[in-house]
Amino acid sequence: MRHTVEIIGIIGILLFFIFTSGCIISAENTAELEPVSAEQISDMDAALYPLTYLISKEMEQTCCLVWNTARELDGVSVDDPAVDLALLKLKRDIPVSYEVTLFDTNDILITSTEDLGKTMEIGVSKATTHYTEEDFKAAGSQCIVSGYSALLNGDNGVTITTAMYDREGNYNGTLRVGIDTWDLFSGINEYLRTSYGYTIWVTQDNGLQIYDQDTEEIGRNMLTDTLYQSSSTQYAAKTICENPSGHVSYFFYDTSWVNLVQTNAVWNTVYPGYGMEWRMVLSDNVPEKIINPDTITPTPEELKAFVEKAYVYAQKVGKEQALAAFNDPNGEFIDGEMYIFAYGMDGEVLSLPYQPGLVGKNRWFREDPNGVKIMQRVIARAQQGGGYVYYMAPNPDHNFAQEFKLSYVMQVDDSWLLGSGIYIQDNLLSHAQYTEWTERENLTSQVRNMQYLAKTEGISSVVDMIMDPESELQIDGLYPFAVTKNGTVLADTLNPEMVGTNQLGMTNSLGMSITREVISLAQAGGGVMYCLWGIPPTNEEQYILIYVEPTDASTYVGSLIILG
Amino acid sequence: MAVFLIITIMLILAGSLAGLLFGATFIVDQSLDDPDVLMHAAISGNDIIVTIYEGGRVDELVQISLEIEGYAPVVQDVPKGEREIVYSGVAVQITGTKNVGLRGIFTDGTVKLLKLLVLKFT
Repeated sequence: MRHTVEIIGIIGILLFFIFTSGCIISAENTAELEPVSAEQISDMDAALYPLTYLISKEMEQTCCLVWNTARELDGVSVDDPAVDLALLKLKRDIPVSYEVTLFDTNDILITSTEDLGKTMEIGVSKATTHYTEEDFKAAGSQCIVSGYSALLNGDNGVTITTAMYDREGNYNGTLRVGIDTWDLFSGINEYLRTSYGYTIWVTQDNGLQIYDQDTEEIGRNMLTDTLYQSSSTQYAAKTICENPSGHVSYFFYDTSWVNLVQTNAVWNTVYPGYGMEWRMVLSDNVPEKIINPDTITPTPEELKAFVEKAYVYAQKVGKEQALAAFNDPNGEFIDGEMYIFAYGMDGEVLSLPYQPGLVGKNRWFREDPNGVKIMQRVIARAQQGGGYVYYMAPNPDHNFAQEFKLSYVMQVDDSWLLGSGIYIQDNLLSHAQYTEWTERENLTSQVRNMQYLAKTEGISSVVDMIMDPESELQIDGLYPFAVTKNGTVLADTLNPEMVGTNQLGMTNSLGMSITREVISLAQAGGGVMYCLWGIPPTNEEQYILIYVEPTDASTYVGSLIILG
Repeated sequence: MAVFLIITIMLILAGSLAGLLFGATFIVDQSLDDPDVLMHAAISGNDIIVTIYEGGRVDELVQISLEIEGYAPVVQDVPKGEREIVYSGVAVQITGTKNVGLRGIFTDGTVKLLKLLVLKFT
């Protein structure tokens, strides 16, 4: 009896400690949260509201375009050339779209605007999401918007789907459009970050994050992922998921991923289509950019020499020993802001001394705020043997502010590359300037319009339109061009004297092979890249953003914006 | 007799395998630890730039022959102490992915393949 009492007593004491410790931890976290003024909440709401409206409108228009295209194609045979043209037109009219595709009722891919040869085979491959006719009846006149998942090209995003019908009105397949959610939100995030000092992240109402300026958080579920398990973060996650709008404060990591800081957030809901709710959350945890005046940025030549030293080391000691040295944050391959990164040719991280948790992860689809696929550009440059490449990345020396980065990369062998980078301070993108998303959308629309017109009117008509300053194709501040796969310039509004000449040999002061890179990017399916290029009439080199798409296997169209 | 024959064949096979393994390891080790000439090549416009880093026979290197897909080797002198050799115009009209070979020609007349790499010209 006495023993029983003792045991019960001990259990009771243990339970008391367990319960009270939980209370203490919880109290510690909540007690430290500072109250937020109504004025601040109001300011944040005022910044968020127009953006929620904008995204709602954009998704509404997008779904409307998809729906209307489906109705145009109802009863049209898939062999009819009008089908491919309608899909291409839809891709043009939705700048944030990846691929536009048709599937039959068994979810077999019938046709696509993109060459999906690496991931999907026409007539064979199946869509991973299955919808029934009943699903579309339930959706009524809305399109179904999928959850964040893998798209047909292997990247992630959401898919907008609507039903297709034959002449008799029988359900006979689906029209699906893959949406690049990064592209949809990154432009407005840059605007918010640079104009107001806020940032946005977007989550589905089930907790799955579809956008965050830190790409490592995208695809995580904030209700279940271990990253978000502190009591205040869990409370915030549940509150945000359960309520269409509101405000909340919580503790979360700052950009160093070491310190927990109070983050205040307001959110609102976007209804992008049938079956989906997105919570657009605006938070105030944007760190102030701190510049160390003593920091001396190495020159491009010093950067190259640093990478070459690592290359020689890797060739001499072998891959394993070299990667161990590159991954050592206190090793000899750290020099001021320079460190050696290494990647497999498939985008797998092999060395990142300051982010060891990322080693082994694949970053093939990683994008910068302007949609430049960083790894794909780096790998393309390495496959030329090596050289300089530009992109935007968070600068750890400036509190992880997004800055313009110049990297030098080298192919070590067919399986991996190494490189290092420096942040370029003479670029406006490093100083709270940004490319307006409307400008980016114009760039995409112009190029996709040329792609569409090349199919309908022929490439020679497009070439004439590019060179005609009065043509409907022209947009202020954009400079369209066309080039063949052999490097012959067909049209160029910025450098008309180049028309008819072969420009494979074109280089800038850093030895970057501009035409070769443009062709390589187009052959990879199109995309965005930065470059340094002499702008007429002075030919002074300036930074440019180029977007290029293939029109067929031998001709490519593109356009560019001069940055600043 | 048959057993003896089998043992002999097995010994020969084991010896061959060991020789192959040790030989391959030796070749790899030698190329890693003491390369004759450590170099790299990269495309810049219509040029290919070959950079010479270090190696046991750098001082003996007098010429480098560059071949694209094994055709039309272009030979350039390597001036003493020169680190970068520019093959001007060798990539004119070349597109796609190609094999590029670099052979070293040494003072004693020997020719050795120093680097073979796959370059993506476009």
